[in-house]
Amino acid sequence: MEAEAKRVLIAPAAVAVFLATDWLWVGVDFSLIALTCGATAALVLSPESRQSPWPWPDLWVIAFAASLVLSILLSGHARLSLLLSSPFIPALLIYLLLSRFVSGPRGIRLVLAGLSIGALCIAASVLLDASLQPGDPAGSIGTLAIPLLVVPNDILSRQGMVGALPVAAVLGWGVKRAYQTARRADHPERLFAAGLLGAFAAFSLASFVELTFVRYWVAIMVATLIGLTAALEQPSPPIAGV
Amino acid sequence: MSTRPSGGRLATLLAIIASVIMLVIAPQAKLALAANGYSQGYWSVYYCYDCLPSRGGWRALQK
Repeated sequence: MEAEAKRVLIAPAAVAVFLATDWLWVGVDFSLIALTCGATAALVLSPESRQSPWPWPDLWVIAFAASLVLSILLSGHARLSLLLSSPFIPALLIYLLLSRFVSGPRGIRLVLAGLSIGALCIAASVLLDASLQPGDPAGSIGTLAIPLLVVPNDILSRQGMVGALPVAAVLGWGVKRAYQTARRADHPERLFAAGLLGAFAAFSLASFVELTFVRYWVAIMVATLIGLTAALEQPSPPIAGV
Repeated sequence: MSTRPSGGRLATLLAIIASVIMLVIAPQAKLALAANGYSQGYWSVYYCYDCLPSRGGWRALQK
């Protein structure tokens, strides 16, 4: 039983390592290599937590993937569109790992720890860079090349309502399920659900200003939020030593 | 709850294969993006300054 309890942590650990290190660029894509190796280990060793076929987010994820493929095929620059759509590959892997192999508070805490470490490292690097270039915030941001306002919304806008509808639907599903879970007094992970609800709200508000799937982290965040919401619905795994 | 598997293992296997392919072709893909005016920025974002509306809109993509 203890071994099984450890095996269910493989998938969340893989996602956590990816989220904590994806800002690092050391010549090789270390984070994606770690995610792929962890996913392979989870595929071989971990039990699949989700048994219910065709949950709603799956349908909308499939619909969005279909619209993405259609968009790439119909694009006048299919090769460029394909390259710019590459963030969806790790995003899909993260969604599958979270929704199929993660359950219970320990796994969710691991993923949240990975997110927190990644966010802290990014914030620290921004502050460090700003301290090295005092008095010139524009120059500092330019050095870091954070593309806050310079990325065209080409992927989603090109797909129009066909692409936007599945995204809106899957986000709507996530908000609804997180709200319902947060409202359940008997749910052991309702605090996580409340946190997810806040994250969905922040993400949706940010989308009014500037969000685009060309950005790696936007696709990763959508997949992480939806995957964590799906993971909250899974029954908790056995506790080690019990 | 149904006891039928959801096909998650097969989908995960396909996503792993796609990730491995992405890892293999990533260096060439980055070169191809760079050749089209895109640069790699923070957190693996590809951005294109020439694509800004103030710099000619999306015409850079027509190259």
